[in-house]
Amino acid sequence: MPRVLLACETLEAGGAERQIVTDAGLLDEAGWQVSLVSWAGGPMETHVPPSVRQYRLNRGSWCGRLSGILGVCRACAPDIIQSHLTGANLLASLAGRSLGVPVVVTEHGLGLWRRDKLRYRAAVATTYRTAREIQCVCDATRRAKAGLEHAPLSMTTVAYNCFSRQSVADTPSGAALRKHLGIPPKAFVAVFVGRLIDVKRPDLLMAVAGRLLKARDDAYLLIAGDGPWRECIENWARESALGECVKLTGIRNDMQAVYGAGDVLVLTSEREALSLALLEAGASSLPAIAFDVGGNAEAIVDAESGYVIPFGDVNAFGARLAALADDSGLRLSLGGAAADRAERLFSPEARLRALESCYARLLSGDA
Amino acid sequence: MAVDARVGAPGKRLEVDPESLVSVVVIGLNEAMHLPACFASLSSSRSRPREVLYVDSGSTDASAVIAEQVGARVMTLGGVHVSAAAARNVGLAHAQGTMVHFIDGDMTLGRNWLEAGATALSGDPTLACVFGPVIEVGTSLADRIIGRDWSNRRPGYVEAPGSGGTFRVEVLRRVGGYPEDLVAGEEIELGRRLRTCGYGVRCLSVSMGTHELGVSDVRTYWRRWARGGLARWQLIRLRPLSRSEWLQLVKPFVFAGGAVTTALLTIGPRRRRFLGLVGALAYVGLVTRLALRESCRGEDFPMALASSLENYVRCIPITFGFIDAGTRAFFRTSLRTTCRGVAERRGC
Repeated sequence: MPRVLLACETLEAGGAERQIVTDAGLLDEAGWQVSLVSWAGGPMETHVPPSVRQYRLNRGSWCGRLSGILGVCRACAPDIIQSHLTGANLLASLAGRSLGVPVVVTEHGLGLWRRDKLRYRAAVATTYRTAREIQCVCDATRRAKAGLEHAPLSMTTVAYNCFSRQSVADTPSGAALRKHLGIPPKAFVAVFVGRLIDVKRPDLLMAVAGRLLKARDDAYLLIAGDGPWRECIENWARESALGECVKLTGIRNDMQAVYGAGDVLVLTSEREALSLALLEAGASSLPAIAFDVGGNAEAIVDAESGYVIPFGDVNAFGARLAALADDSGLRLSLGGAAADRAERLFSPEARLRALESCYARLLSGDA
Repeated sequence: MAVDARVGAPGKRLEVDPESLVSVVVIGLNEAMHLPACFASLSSSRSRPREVLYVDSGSTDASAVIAEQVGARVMTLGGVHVSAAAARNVGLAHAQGTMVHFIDGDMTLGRNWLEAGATALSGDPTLACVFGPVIEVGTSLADRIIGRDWSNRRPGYVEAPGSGGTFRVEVLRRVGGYPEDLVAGEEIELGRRLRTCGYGVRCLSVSMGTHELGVSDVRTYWRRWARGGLARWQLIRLRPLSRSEWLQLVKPFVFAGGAVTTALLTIGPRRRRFLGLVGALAYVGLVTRLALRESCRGEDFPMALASSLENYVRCIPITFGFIDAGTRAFFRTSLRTTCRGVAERRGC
């Protein structure tokens, strides 16, 4: 049975971490012997399948982490290592190089915001020199990494993120969530899924949603996520007399209920690689509206499975959202196309195929 | 904006009714995260203001839309580097109340402030402005230390307002509003103008609200105080200074120069290290003296010591900002002169 070691920095409730847990489950089901090592755990630890062996290093220094990952490699003797996010990528590629194990580093972000930091650039350059393959989660990431961080294109491949089957919308639990939150069954619900941090641009979300909620009595905004902007959004909703129409649920594990309760997904991020929320919404037959940043245009085909708006154009965003609120037929047709696209490109099966073909290539020494 | 030197007559006594008297002007630049809390504090104030105006200095976030949604009158300023003074003056020009309260987007208003401010202003016709202590809610050490400048203000008549305040609209308009030529320290200059015209500024004991400074790293700290140096340069260009003003102005440069000299002497040739040691001891003495003075007033000693140390450390970025502004101005002028000379020689 081939053995794979997945390495990551933390298991917080972020998109990259959720993808790591999904990968662990997929590979485990496909018959791989999977081990998972992280520096620090997090809430996603509980979602890791029990048959996956977990290691937590709990070491502060980089030397300690490197020796820890070397120890884990000796203990589980992996045939291949797949790492995620910058710090883990660096240490896993160094450990893999020293032990002669091929390493696939996974790039989830665009890296643009840190390009001026010397330490980050040195880490990335070392990683790219020592890793065997650089796997990007979307083409936008691949372009960004090649253009800004000089990732060698010959080593770079794209394996799209995938949605998790457990997160696909479930109508009864969606109806139950609506009832729990006091949202009428016929009301129009715009859903936002993500951490409430600067990069998700909650200010633009408020600007867009505020117009819709003021214009329609039957419209609601459902926010599934938490972060430093939460208090701000609560204040805004209260001050704009929209307190009843804005529902903040915090971080939820039952994403199938969140998508089941929604009619459309809105994503106002200023920077995204390939948003899992977009993929999960697509798989749940929800049309999505997002700004044209990062890999959003890969997840959504404009006017076919949702809308992609030039970044910052709040008026156009609001107009599209209002059009979807008015026309349930349009929502259905866009949602159907989104589900088809998600199943074709972003399904767990497609992800598993991409991972296995990459591993097979590396193990046969073709890379 | 020029100051009208003929102004002098103290204002009339006013009836106390903040709901009809006080306009609130909120200014902001990319403050979308803080604005809802700011407006929420206005709504929960014991006395509602007559109107709320929001002046946006060219935000790239959705600040203006959010302010509009919560019911403020929004004015947006175009252009780059619009100073806080310019934004406040726009608010002042549109204010309809007889008093105006200025608040920044990253601040909140104290629940009792509007009533207390309006009562104090109406009770004393010679007052042009009242303000109060502002509690710093930032969590970083720098926030807490710098925030003490605002939160530890002692009640009484002072030379200049601090971090906004409530003003008589008529008086403020007569003195030309805030000095727009200054990027920082505009309140000190405004205080001088008000005093010249026979009006006073008073700090009340009522809390004016909270503020989040957001100094989280060395870069932000440096930029903040370097702006103070730039303001000093702008003040020199603005008008002739009195002797005491010159003394105040050069004090940070003396401390910064002394600190650099001490450091050079300490790491320099061995025979001069003694002088460096004496300089270092002098600085330790100055810092301790200031800290002891603060702690005698009831302050926590470690915090007083940190604050006292910061008081001297800030002199370095201030001096840098001043030298930087002066150098830029010099080169701009000399470049222009050279270009003109070349153009004249070529007969253009």
